[in-house]
Amino acid sequence: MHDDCNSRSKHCVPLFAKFRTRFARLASIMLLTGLQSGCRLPDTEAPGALVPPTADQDARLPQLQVTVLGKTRALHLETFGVSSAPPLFVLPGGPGSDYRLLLPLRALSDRYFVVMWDPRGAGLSERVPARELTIDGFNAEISAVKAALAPGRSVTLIGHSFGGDVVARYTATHQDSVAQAVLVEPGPFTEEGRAHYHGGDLDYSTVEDFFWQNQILTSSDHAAADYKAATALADANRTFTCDGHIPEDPIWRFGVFAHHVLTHTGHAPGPQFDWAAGIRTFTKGILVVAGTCGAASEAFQREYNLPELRNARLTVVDGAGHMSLFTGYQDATIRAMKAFLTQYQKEAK
Amino acid sequence: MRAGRWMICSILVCPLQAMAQAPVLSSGAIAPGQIEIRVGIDPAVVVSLGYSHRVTAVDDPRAARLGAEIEVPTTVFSHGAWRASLVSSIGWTASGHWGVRGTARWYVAHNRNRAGAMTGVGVAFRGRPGWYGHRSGVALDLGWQSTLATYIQNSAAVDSTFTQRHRDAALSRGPRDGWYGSTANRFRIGLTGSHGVGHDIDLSLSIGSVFALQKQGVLVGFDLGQVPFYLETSASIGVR
Repeated sequence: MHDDCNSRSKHCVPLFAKFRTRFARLASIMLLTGLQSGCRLPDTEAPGALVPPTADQDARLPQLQVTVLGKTRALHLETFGVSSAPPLFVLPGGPGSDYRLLLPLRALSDRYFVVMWDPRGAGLSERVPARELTIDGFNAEISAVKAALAPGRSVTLIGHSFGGDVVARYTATHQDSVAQAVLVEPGPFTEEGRAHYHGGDLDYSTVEDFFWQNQILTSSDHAAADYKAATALADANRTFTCDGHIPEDPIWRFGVFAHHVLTHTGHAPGPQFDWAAGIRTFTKGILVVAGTCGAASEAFQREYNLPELRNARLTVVDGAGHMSLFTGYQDATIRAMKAFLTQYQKEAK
Repeated sequence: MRAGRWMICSILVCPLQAMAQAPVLSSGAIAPGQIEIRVGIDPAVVVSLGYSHRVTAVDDPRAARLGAEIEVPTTVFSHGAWRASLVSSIGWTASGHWGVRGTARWYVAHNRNRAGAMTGVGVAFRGRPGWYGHRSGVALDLGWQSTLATYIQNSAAVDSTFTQRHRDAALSRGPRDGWYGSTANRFRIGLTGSHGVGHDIDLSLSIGSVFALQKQGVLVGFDLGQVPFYLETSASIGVR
């Protein structure tokens, strides 16, 4: 195409007019085609497209309908062992994580009726709006599961990381309902602990990648947000390891919106909030299990959390990190629990 | 009829249409060729390099340009992240020094990380209505970016998130590799200022908010990649 537009030739105008017309038509067609194509292509939020569907989207998942704060929601939940055995509930961390990492604890089903579930908004449980994601909601959720599966019975509670905080609070506020409590590297109970806790920090490359993805995939719905969070989560878990390498920890889905609401909004614990407030009057036995590596290990527990617990027993799994307590060191972790749990002590006697 | 057709085209293509007076721009803006270097935070730290060529006459008030651009974040080497665009721009004034410059970028963007690889095609429109003087200007900076279609190829790590969910393993089918529609939509609103330096260089600074609409209703949330801020500096160098 001859371009004489550098000159003041009057011929430039018709040439540009033709080019303009053709370009405008081509661009219009491309845009309209693109918009139409975008409308027909699958949505990232289609169940099972990028991330596993939640219990309300997949009826074949093991699940339990519970009513919490007036709303009935589908919890992704599994049970192991016979229902007549003493109940034992397992709570994952995050907030937002699922119980897949904690599946080795089903080994306790030889003496207990083991129940594991993903909290509302987390893992493969139903996604819920922000108003349903509150600290009090966790207590209500545990009570709802207990009412459904172990009515009128004391339960043993095992909580990992943030789940350990939740167990501490439920134990403190429902002492008659709890038989024993096991806290596996619980998160910080108090503001002092929170100020010194560096678990989950991300490196620059991960943060940059996370934001660059917005050019292509924005966190516009739960599925896209959880999909993008999975990459960042793996990097965050470096801070819980001995060697700083990204671990290949088993996970189904991380509920990043629940994590956001419970850690970065008004629903997060305030400066004066203490997860373990009132727990000193609980006398039926608390075990803290910790590894020796990572942000939530033995050193952190001794300095910030153990002082809040009275008569708690600490068992250390040498060489274990926050996640590897349930992967490479699961046998040692389970042995530590069995050395504490009443049903195994009865057996030993 | 012709004006109506043109109005439709201008809305879709943003904006290629004949208007009245030229914005009074610096010499660099009317040079035949133009190199543009941009450094910005949106909130990824990005650098872009582009070249455009004027397709209208020197005395044509529209100062339309066509060109190409490559934009990369700091993870260009570690994550293979880039965005390549075809760029068109045009400017006009309604009266006096008040006018608007519009830019359309048709792009292909790519990223690769632990979740897999994704390549998206989309368009970004940007309009800057404001005051354009002989050497400097100030304007609103308004934009809309949409990645219309994205091909996602999931990694083994993502595949593994679909396993072990059901007692019957056959029920646990994995993620879908393939095309997805309308995967990114972002809006931009801010202010921009420009100033001519020397004979062929224009410098500009833009600042404001860039955000995506979320069904979850989160406007500010690091976890959801929503830090609604951008800052951009650029240098446009005329090439004769």
